[in-house]
Amino acid sequence: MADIITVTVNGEPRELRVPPEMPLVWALREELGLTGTKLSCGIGVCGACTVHVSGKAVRSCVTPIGEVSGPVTTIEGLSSPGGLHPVQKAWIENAVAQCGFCQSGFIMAAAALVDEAPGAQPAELLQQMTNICRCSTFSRVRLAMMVAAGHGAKIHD
Amino acid sequence: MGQRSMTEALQVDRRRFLGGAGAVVLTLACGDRGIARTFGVPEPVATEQVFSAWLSIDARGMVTLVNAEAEMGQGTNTAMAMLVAEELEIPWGRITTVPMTARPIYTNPAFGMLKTGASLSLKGRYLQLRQLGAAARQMLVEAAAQEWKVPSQACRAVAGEVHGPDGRSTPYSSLVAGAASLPVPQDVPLKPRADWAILGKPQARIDMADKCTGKARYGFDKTVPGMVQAALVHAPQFGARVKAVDSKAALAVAGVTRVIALDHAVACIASTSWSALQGADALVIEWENPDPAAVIDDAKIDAMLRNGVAGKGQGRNALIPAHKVGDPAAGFAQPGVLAVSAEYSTPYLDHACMEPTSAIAHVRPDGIDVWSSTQSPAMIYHAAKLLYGFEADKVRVHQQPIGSSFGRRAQIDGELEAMVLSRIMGGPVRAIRARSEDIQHGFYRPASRSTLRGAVKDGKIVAWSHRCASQSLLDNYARYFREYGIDLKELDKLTGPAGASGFNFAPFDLMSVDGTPSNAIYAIPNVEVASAKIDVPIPTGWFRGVGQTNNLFATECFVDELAYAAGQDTLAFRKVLLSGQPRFLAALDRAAREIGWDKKPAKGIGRGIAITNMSDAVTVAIVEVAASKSGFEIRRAVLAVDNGIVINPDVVEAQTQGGFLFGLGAALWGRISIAQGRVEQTGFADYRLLTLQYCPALTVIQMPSDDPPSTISEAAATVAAPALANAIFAANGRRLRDLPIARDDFECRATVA
Repeated sequence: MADIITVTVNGEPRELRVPPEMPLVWALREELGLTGTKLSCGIGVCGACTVHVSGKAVRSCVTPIGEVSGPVTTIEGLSSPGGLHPVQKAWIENAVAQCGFCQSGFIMAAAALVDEAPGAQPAELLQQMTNICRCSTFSRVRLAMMVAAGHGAKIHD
Repeated sequence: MGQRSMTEALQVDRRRFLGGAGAVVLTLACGDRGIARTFGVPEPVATEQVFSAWLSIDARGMVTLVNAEAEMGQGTNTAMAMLVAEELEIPWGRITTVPMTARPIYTNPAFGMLKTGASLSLKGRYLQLRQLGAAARQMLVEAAAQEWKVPSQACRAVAGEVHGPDGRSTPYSSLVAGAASLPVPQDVPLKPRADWAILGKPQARIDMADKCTGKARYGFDKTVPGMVQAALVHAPQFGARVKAVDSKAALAVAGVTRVIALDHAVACIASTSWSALQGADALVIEWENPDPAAVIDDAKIDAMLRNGVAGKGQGRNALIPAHKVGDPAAGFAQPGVLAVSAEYSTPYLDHACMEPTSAIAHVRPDGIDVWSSTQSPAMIYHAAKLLYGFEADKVRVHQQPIGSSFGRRAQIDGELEAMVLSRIMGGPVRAIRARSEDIQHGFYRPASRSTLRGAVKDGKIVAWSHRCASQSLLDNYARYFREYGIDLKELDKLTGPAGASGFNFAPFDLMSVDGTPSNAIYAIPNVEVASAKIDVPIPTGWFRGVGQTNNLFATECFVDELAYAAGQDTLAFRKVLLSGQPRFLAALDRAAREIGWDKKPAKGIGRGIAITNMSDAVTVAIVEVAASKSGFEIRRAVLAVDNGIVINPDVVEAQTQGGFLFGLGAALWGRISIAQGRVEQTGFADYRLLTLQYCPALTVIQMPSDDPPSTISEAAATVAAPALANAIFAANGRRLRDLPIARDDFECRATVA
């Protein structure tokens, strides 16, 4: 019998009766109905399942729910009552998404990078964005990351 | 079929092969006779359905259009809405789309069947949806005129309202009921391009905000009440069968309720996806493998391909002449020619879609519902008829937005599995699979081998020979239908005009020579193309760029080789070849100017060109690399594209960027390898895909023209590999003729360092 696991998701404490080894992505999607977080590679490579735990980006397909030690934020909880996160704004303004399936993960990864290291140099930010997009929206991902990080649209020296 | 008629038969491109008779899709795509054209005037839309099947307008004046094309990132939600909004005279922002529940009336006139693909969404809908919007507008105007008892000529549509005499006006929303009961006008003149307010201008994608806030829902996100999860495990070796299943450990997984053995796969049924996948992992399956002598691997496939291009194949594997211009033998025998030959090869590729393959089916005694991210809804309801006897109107295929596809979801393997399992379970079943299953049971871009010979004289190509070998793209496509006892010819008959299904009943697969000079734009007086197919039990299928992803690599690199052999600048050499092709010359010149071709690059820097006429578009790429002996980095790329009439320049740019980078990633690392009769790769860790760090700075130059809308991303995907290989040669003198490009002793370095 599965234990009851308590986890705070998008600011609300939630109780889940699931095995502790269940990956966070499945708990979010199928137990809590938060389907904005996607599953793709299943092994932590592509980043489509990226969410924040205590503000840091984690790949929820390889994060057992039982090991989640802080509050979880998903794409559904990224924007505040005041409006969209600056990364979401930059993403929409620069029309990044194509099919969009990987974009929740990209946005969550980018938001963590931009929020964690204000003033980081473009190369530092771009090196750390290792998500995969098969529509290959990378040109606009770069652009939107730079805009969100306050570097304007300049990508290359 | 005699050689002459075969050659004639092959002088059509794949669009005709795929397209339907009703579509008037006609293409001649031959040698130096000009740019391939594929465009027809669609049949008028079944306009009596204007308000019942396509459009609704709510009380606030918001228009909802049923999108009969799959949305998979290529922007059909936005493009289809733009086409209607322009003629309907509503402001942009007052229209949205919903995915269809598939019905034959939604058939794409350019395809001849209800299917999304082959870059035909805009081609098929460009006139159809404008006609629909214009008819609806006219009906609304007429409804207002009748209500006001004034002549309709005294009324006009303005921004979602009908304006009448004396300054009176009424919103569309109040007129819909009256309009819907009126006869449908058939020949409403369309707005001239000069008057377009919405089309041809960059419009924001209507689904962009939802995709950036987690609200967008895909097939993978769909749930229906009462459904169970079924995780499939397929036979690792192609052609293997289930012999015995030990399901004890699987059934011990919490949530797992049942294990069902099919012929080619085993399904683990559970209440949640996680349980089903865990249960599938725990299955112990004994497979009845094919005869060891028939078990294939890369070495055997390579030997078969070499045999094919050498003309040693027999019967259905024989080398078949595909195209001939002039007298190639005489061309090569001319005195004073410089003859060059080279061999090229490409590997199998997987689509590696972000959205894992999944489908939900509910088979009931009185009908079927299917929910899936499919490119081929009609194929699903036709297959269902042959499986269970239901007419098309009893099979409701609910189109779901697709999380990338590139041709993969044109196959309906997942939907068939879901239907069969639902029938067994007696309720709705969602068929899913782990990523490892997805990558090992794809419908791959086939590996190929090309042998080229060319003769140069006085700085021009005077003779060209291309022999290519690969699996047929289509022969194996139908393999899985046979698994279900579906008669392919019956299915083909149901799907519409002959050949629309894509099944290949001809001895030859036209797609296998796409991208050879049989449809090139170059002025070469003597050309011969021949193709051989090999038979191995690997499922193959359409892949973004299709046959050109193989043949254009060989063609465009070999043009480069001949330029060097002739001692010429590769740009100048191509310009001579393109004499008489003003659109191509203009795009080539524009791209060359953008990259600064006139300025000789520093040592170690090289630039490579590639050009294609795929699907009527003009696509030119120039790539700039820095390369040493041990590695290279891709610094810049410029694409100049003429896509004819442009509907949404912003999406054209995005799709050109994405298509090119998709092709670049495949060129760098893409390779599915086969050992012991099975795919070796297990997921995204060992099937390397492109990330941001390796992308060049990318400039897209749009040069729209007055031609009908053409392909965008497929063409851009095909030019990446040859432009990259040509750039590397220019930088360090290393001619890479085998894809993928990057290798242990020659790595691609990140551009972000």
